[in-house]
Amino acid sequence: MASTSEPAVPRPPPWWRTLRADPPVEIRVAIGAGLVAFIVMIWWLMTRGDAITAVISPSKLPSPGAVVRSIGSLGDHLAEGIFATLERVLLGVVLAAIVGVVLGVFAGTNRAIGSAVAPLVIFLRSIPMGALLPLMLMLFATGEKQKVMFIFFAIVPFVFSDTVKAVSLVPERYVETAQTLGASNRQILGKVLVPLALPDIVTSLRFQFGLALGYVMLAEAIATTSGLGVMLNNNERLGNIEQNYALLFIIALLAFGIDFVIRFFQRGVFQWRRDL
Amino acid sequence: MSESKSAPHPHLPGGTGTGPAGGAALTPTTPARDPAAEAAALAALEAQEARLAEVDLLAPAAPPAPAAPAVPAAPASGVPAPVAPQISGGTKMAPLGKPLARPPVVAFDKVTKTYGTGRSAFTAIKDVSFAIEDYPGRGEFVSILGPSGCGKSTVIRLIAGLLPQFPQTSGSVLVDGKPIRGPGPDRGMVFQDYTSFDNRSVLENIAFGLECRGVPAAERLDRARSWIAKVGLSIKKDADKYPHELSGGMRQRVAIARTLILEPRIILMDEPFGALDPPTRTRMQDNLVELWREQSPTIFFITHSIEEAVFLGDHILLFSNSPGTVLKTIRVPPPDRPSIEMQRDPKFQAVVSEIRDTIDKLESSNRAGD
Repeated sequence: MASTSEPAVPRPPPWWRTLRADPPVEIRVAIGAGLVAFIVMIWWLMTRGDAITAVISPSKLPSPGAVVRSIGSLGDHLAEGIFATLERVLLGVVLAAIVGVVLGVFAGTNRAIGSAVAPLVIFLRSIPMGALLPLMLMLFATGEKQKVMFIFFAIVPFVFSDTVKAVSLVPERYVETAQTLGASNRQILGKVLVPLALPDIVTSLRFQFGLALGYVMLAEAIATTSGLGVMLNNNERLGNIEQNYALLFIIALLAFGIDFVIRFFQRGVFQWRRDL
Repeated sequence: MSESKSAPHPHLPGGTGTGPAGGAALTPTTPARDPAAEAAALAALEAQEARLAEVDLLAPAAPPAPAAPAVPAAPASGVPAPVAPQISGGTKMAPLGKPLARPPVVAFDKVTKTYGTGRSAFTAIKDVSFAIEDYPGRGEFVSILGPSGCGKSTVIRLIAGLLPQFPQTSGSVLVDGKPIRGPGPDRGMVFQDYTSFDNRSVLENIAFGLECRGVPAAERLDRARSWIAKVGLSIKKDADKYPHELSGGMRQRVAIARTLILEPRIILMDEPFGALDPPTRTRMQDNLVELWREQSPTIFFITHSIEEAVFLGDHILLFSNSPGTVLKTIRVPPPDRPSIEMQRDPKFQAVVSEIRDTIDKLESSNRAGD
């Protein structure tokens, strides 16, 4: 207890009684890991025993151990599948980035172009992704081109809109400043608008990359020989449910990893933006 | 410095119009459409000039004629007939001579700006007329003082040629006798909001204008580096910093350097020190005066602070509330000491109080007239 002779320095309220205060990092990690451990434990309890004694049948939910063991049996197929899938996603996203960003920058600075492209963009944005697939099959048959074009059409309207928005949101005062410093319209575009909008454009591409990974699974479900989507479908047909659970975890980790890497570079390149 | 530049300029013949807003200089700018309107414009200008004389604070509370000699003449002034007696001795700024026989640097003639039409129409400024003459060797420092929303920014942005204030709804805005076509580097602008390009370092920000002009990288960065020192930043510590690492005062120093490196003839400052704390503000004022002496551009400086207006200005345009119009043109002595010292001077404070009284009187009479 504090002695009465010393004047008491007030103590700050603890984090659990302070609104929006972060707990210490150890506690945050412990809470997160604790919940995961809890879920895995429930999972393990529910799937304990054989096909007859387990609460949930192994044909619906195999035990954690069985899922982990099945990763080994994926073997070389796994690396091949990841490579094939990522190649498609990357091609589609790069294509969409080139077209979407270039068009978006022009539409963001020249509103006439923006008005001209608006109906087409609204149309493309409003189509459910899955509805595009049959048309893509008819146009590009079942090769690589079909899958890349599917990703391209699925994300290019969003890349475009986000680019227009990023360019529009650069505050007008920067444009005015550049004008009073003698910059021409072309210089304002190249030296002010694009550099200042770029971090947000990259953020948009990062999100779209994540979504594209989802779309490609859909495309790979049809008449494809390699890729993560193919592996998922084959496992379904063969009844390898353990492998499917394992693949889902791997895909989630992959998506998270890619996002993390892009964001790491984004933060390095755009150090002047502290909110990325 | 200013003396060396002042000599070769021709002066107005006959010594007409010692004050600014010389009616003679302005008349040719009015398109001769309607003689009656022209006469009215002239009358308005004359009236303005008369008012100007009425509030000439150059010799505040001084006995009529022989007041000026009490003050030692400016040390190295090759300019005849100083118009502005100093608040106290020891000026470094050459006093204004007679305006040159050239069109005014900036001339507003019955300028009105109205936004929208019909019922939703809003008039930001109405019939604003003033002329800032071209003085030999040094530009004038014009403080624009007035309540919020009185159209001060409209005036400055009209000169800058920035939308949507530009172009005016009616009247003429002439810079060097020519109408404005749009923004240009001859009219530099420093905004109140921080406008450093976030993606550029301090050095690259200052070099921006030169980069647009196509000055080679090595040269423009060298020149930018010398400007970092001139505006009181550290070449070593600050050159490679990004705007988010700078304080508000430092950002405004960058903005001033970025504008002055282009040596514009006119500098427009829209409350640039409005968001700064008082000590930073006075330091920035001193720095600005120093740079002004070196380059001698004509400066338009919007402020809410009477002290700032009186300290910095040669000339105060006093604006009334919406629709904004020039209530009075007041001459004040140019700064001759650091801001803090000068503001302690009882004579300086007397000038400030007098302007404050003028504003109060004008505002109360304005309200009565509503």
